Amino acid sequence: MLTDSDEEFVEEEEEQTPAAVKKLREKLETAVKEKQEYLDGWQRARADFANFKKEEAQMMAEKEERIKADFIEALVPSLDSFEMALKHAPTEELKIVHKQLLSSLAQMGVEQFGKPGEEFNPHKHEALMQKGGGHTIETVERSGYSVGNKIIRAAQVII
Amino acid sequence: MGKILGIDLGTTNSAMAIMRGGEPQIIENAEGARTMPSIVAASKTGEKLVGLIARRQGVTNPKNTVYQIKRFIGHNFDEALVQKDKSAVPFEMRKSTNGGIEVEMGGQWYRPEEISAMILQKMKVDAEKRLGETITEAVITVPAYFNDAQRAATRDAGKIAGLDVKRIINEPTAAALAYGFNKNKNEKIVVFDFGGGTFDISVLEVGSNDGEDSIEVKSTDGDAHLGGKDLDQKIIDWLATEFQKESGIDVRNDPLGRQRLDEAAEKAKIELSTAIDTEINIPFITSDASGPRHLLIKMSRAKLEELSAEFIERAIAITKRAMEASPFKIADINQVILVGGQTRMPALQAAVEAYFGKKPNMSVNPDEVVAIGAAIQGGILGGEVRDVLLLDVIPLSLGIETMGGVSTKLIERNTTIPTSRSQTFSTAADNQTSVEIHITQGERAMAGDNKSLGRFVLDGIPPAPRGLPQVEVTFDVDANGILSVKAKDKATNKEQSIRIEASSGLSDADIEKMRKDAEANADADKQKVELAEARNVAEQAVYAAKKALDDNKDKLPAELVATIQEKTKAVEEKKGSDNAAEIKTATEELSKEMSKVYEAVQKAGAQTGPTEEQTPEAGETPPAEPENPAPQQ
Repeated sequence: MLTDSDEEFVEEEEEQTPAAVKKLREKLETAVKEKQEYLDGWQRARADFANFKKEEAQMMAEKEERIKADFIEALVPSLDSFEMALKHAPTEELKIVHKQLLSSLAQMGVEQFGKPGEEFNPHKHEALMQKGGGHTIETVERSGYSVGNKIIRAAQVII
Repeated sequence: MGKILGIDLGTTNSAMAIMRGGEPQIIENAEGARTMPSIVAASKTGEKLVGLIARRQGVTNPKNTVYQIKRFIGHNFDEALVQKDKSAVPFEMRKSTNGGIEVEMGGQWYRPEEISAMILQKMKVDAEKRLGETITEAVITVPAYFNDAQRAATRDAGKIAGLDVKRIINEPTAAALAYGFNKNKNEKIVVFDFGGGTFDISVLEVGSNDGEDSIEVKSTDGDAHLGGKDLDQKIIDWLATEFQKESGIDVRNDPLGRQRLDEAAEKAKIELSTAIDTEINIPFITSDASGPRHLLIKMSRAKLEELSAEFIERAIAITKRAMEASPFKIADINQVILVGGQTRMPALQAAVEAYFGKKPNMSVNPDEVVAIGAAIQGGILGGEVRDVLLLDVIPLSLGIETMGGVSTKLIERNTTIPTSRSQTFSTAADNQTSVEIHITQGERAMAGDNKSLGRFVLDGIPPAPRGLPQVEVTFDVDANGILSVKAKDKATNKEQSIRIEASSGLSDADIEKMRKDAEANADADKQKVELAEARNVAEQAVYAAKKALDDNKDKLPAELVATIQEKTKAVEEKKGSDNAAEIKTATEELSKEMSKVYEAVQKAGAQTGPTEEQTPEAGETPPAEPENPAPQQ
């Protein structure tokens, strides 16, 4: 884009003095450099957009998993309460309903995990306390839940 | 040159962000989280664990789980502060040969920068996986009070992690960058950072020169042991005490009980940011001889504010100290920025607003604002963020008036500019040889209710049945908001255009009024559009019916012709009314009769046999109407 000073300079160009030529050369160098910067920036912006479009497809696929995970996460406190109730005041009816609920969740790909005797694994388990010197789970205080590879809530255990 | 990663390397939690498409974006780590605990551990099997995984096994492995390493980086072992913090952590520390610090983890000794490097390395690897590209450069933030040794050590940590640290910037400066306040020359900004474990207050001044280094820290203060965790503990203690009053049991003695109280306290705190009270419900929290015991306690926002009062008062007192140490008075402060999750608390926001006499800025996620600012700094250094590349949006939709007086939008409001959008329209009447393009601006559904920006005529369209000509209308808005509208007849390539500068001349108040008008009139506008559309469809149905009768009069039974004529007349009569439902009904009845035309024509054709004079239209459906209504003549 020509500035006022550029236009003034272009008029003087006809003189073709060595100083004028030098100034023109400097301006040309700057313009070439700027051109390259702008082209690079433009190409990057186009590439960013193209990449974003590709990722968007991936994000849409992940969105469904994310919504499911959020829903399961919201259910976790109630699932915990079920386990507590079965531990402290078990009834046949509670057992049946709990089993039914877990079965429905399993159909959606939700997995309950964490069992006494398993090797402690921080990728899946969270230690609340260490009693012995070993590395195996003594009690599962709260079960863990996962959907696919995503851990919704690590199993909270005592080692 | 690749992208530069912006990293907020926090005492308790860390986050990272990067520029994408000109905007800073937080990058989720491998676990899908936007922040991660700044914790490193060596497991009993020798595995190096970083972040959430490290935290999960902390209780089983306290001596080999290193956290809050930021408190020790760049320090000497003999410093009083180091000795004090050292006593609060379970992992071993010793003096290195040069007087610095070393921590023990998994049977080996590490400098604090090596521990920080493990955190940075995980962030680097996770970012590379997310982005699908190699990251070799980063901008890392540090507290404003960090001295040269601490900054150098942080830079070293980056280097060890395989990152070329292009810049170490202050956390409050990063927050100011996230809000774009670096452009507000000579302004005074306060950054109020109340995080999980630390409180920092900084007073900044934006210089009068251009460039990324224009922000100067004028004073800084804080409390390295004041944060949201303190409030969580107070809530836990209150809940435990209340429960103990009625049950006689202190659930804090049970690890699961303590864990559940911790979760409940944080949940209650978050809920009370928007609700005035909440119920903390922890079934089966413990049991005794009488059976299972449940915790069910109501907590009001007033109670939370009572519990947090001492922390808020302390933070404001420190703020006052920082202001006194700065060259400014309270009235000089132009902007206040809130950083850190704890600043979501209404009582804290109110205290800050009361002290400074102005509403603090909190529109950028306070947990992420520092990482966002670091990413912007990375963008500035990498050339992605420059004044010429700062993009604007158009404040109001731009469109043209189409058949029935409807405003058809071509560019929606809040579209980033520069941008160009095209849409193809057609003629409204047979043999229409010109179209008028009337350009409007606004959110109303009818063109007459929007602002008229200009109009021009494209003529020379070859005569043709309505709906056949293709007129491409292109709206182009440049980076300065100047609108150019072009209309081109695709058949002849004849075009006409207009350039409008007034589209960017509205004041903020005008824009807001136009938006509010659109909201207030949304229902009424919807009805107007429905009426216009019903009339358009009716008109097209009448046209199609008359054409079909003209083309096939010999083939159709007299009864069908009479019915169609009767229904067509009914539509023509209804079209003039204001009742969209009645117009639609009349049009549907006409369409129902029209569907019999094809069958009748086929039947007539079968009876007479195929002839060379058979017209091409026979058996054909009427030409498809263009998707968009025609522009007004």
